Amino acid sequence: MEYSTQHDEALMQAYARGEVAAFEALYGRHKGAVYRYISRQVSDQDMARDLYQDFWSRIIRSAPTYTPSAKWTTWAYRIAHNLIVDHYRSLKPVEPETDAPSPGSPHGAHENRVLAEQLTTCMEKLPATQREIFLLSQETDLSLHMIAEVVSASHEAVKSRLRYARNALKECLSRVGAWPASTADKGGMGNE
Amino acid sequence: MSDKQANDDVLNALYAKTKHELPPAEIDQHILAEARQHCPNPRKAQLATWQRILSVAAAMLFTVYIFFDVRQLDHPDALTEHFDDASPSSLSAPAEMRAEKALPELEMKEQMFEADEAREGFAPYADQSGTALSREPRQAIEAPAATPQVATPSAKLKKNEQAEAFTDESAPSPESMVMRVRELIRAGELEQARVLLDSLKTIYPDYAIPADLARLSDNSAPLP
Repeated sequence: MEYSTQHDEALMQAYARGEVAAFEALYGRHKGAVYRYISRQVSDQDMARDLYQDFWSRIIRSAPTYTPSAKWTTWAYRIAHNLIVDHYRSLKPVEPETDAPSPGSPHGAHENRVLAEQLTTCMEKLPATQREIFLLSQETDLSLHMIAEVVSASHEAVKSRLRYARNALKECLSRVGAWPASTADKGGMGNE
Repeated sequence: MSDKQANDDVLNALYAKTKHELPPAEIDQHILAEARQHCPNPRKAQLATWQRILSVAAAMLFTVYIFFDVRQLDHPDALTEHFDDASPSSLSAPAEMRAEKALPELEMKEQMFEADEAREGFAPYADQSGTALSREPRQAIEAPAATPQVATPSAKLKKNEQAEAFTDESAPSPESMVMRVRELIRAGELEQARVLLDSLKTIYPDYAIPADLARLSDNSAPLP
């Protein structure tokens, strides 16, 4: 059976009927985005991998009762969001890092890789709420309404957090010389 | 395009370059193994496919069985006679064709049998109409020992001998049949002679009937 053209919801239902190949297709489709979504919000990479496996375990175990009442991506990322929230609730509050990333000189063949590393570093400086919404906007095809549903926030709040996150990233990248100063918007790293 | 939109596009493009990060392969294997282990109905899908195939096959077998069962009910004696024959060629043919083939042969044999019966004085075995077949001779062929209608042991023996002759694969020659017809005519058994002559024509349609017997086939013609 051809799974590559089927929707996520159909694949999930096929897996619930016993078609393991449908789950393999679903997993191959989303594993990278989910992994980045989790690992870029959890600084401890071992913990991020545990949460990633826990996420898929929950998907697997909820297959028999799965009903496609919403988009699979919305449903799945809500599970991932709750896992991360539970993870941070279990930790003691820590002081957020405020140091700017060290300036770099992105030139030559490694320019893209250096830029990506600087962006990753800047994302780590974002407040968790802004970082999560920025990741959802980049890694999924969810609309702002759906992202609001995932993170249990209002549409306006999501829109505002996303704007703050973008501006903060541009400012951060400008400070390290990785962003054209002429196109940088005014923004800040603060919470909304 | 506004500067804000352009900046967003630059940021999106920059982020796209970071999308190379994937989970380690061992985690992939672990999760997929867990998916196989906790698959809700791992055999159900395969069984469903086989169940569909088996259901179709069973339905076809049932249909074929019902078809031949009904055919056997329509021609039970013909099929029984045919399977007693049991020649390899007939076994390979479809049951319906075999049944249709067996019926005329059976009629011819019984007509000849009845003609001999009439000549030998066993008139009760011959049907009065000359066309409809009685069951007693066939019972004698199939089960000679279980024929209470046979009056004497000698008659029973004759019937068995004739039955063996008719069940033989080699049919009587046209000359011998002509001789029998003439014997019947001489004995005054004209009706039986006609029946036997008709059988001869049926078995050997190309055989030239002697002139002295040609008139016998015409019921209205005077006999010599």
